[in-house]
Amino acid sequence: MTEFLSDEMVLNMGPHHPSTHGVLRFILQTDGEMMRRAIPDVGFLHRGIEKIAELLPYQAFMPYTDRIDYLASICCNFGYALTVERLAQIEVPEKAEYLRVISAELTRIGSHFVGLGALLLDLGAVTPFVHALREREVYNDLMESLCGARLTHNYVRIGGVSYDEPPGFREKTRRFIDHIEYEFLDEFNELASFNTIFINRMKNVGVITAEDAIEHSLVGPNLRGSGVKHDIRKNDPYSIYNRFNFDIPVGHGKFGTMGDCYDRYWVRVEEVMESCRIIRQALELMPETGPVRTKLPRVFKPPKGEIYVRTECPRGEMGFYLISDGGKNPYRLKIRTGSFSAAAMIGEVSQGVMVADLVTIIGSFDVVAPEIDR
Amino acid sequence: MTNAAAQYFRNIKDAVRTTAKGMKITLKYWLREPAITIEYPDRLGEGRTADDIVQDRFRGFLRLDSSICIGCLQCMKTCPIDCILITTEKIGEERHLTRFDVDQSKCMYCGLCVEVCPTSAITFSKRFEGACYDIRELCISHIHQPAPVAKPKAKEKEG
Repeated sequence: MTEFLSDEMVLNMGPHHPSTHGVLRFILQTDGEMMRRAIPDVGFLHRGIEKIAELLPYQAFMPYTDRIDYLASICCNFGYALTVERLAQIEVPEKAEYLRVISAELTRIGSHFVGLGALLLDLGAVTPFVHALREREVYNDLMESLCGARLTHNYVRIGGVSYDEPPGFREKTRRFIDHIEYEFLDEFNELASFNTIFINRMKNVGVITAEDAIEHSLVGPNLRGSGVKHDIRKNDPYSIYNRFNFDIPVGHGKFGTMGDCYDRYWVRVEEVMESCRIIRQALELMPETGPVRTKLPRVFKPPKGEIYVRTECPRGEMGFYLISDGGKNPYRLKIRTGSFSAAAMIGEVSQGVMVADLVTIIGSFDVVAPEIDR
Repeated sequence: MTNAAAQYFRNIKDAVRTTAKGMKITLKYWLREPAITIEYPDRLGEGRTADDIVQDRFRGFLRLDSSICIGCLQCMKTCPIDCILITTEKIGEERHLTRFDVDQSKCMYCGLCVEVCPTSAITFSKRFEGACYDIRELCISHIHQPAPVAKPKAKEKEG
């Protein structure tokens, strides 16, 4: 009888809700302000990218990888290029490797800025979001001078990169990362991260233990926020990441419990600093001149076989599973993204929290809707 | 009870203190001159046009230099979304370009056609302002009269 008397109500959050970060819908079972469950309903942004891959030649699929995760397009380019290169055993010129790493780490900084800013915006702090986007604008200009586009860069090619560095690129990049590391992040932390109201809304909310995180195959900053030290760049180094000296930031319960929203947030702030370190080393080690692209045959056909390559994207491990039948199009391409497992996890951790905390949880996972659906 | 009350007031004090710190930063930027935002398109600055606010390598609308196009159709074949349409015809002895349409509303500015062009006939311009009332206006014809194709040089044929 009590079942009929309960105040349970089903609410729809999204798909057009601004704090669901794209077209993502949640079905909330609420009991007053408390939430029984939030069921994520994904698929609104499914574009069939994996099927498109089967219809296009290997090189022509590159622009589509931009659209998997539009906030970190170079990281996706990088992963796909690496997959095809490993399958066809293509050597990449030294300078191209450095340009790839620098642009990928710059993208990571830009992507984390949007993630951090959007989380703060969802919690009602508009100013830090504008500050983060102002810095991201500098990164956009840098990428525009490097490859000509501001969002869907399409910079990495199979066997290298599309352009050499423009004049003055190193100096501008160095100035950018110096500004980020020594000035901007301190200011940003003072403005938002160490604000007591913000901390109180973030700490002890959406706690995920390390076991739970591994069980639900969380990846990237969401996994590291739970205290698991796992980063593909260190644990399974690809490209030239083993030449750089950098740390893996992990959550350790800075203000509340280990694995809460604040830890995931703080891991991202620290990752920005680590990316700055990598870029600084790469800029010093990068050769002055040299080829940036290996010449491929016009009709490119990799040998028969299959391969799985994983790379570290801002939203965690991105894996490309490629099967080639020796033809000019891939036989099958499967893309594994970090946001998908994170979206599933949102439903798990949102049991028994307040409705307002759901926004915090979604923001702290930093999911990007097109990456969930592909 | 006194402990809890003290904690309560300490929380309020902390919140006010940290928020004031943030407001100080906001105030610093509010008083700062000049503003960072460029007020596109009304105030771009003295003598600047929309072309000046983008970088040199900007991937804008495609343009064609029909005098050096050799009509090899590489760009049409490499385009992932088939937004380029080229037809050639043999008029007299020479091959002529009769049609070179680029549908800019479909184009995703990936740059594959520009990279594959052996004579750099197709390049990016800096133009990005494509707003118009009819989407058909964005389907741009680069050839108005049949134009003879350029003779490929032996070196360019390979590359």
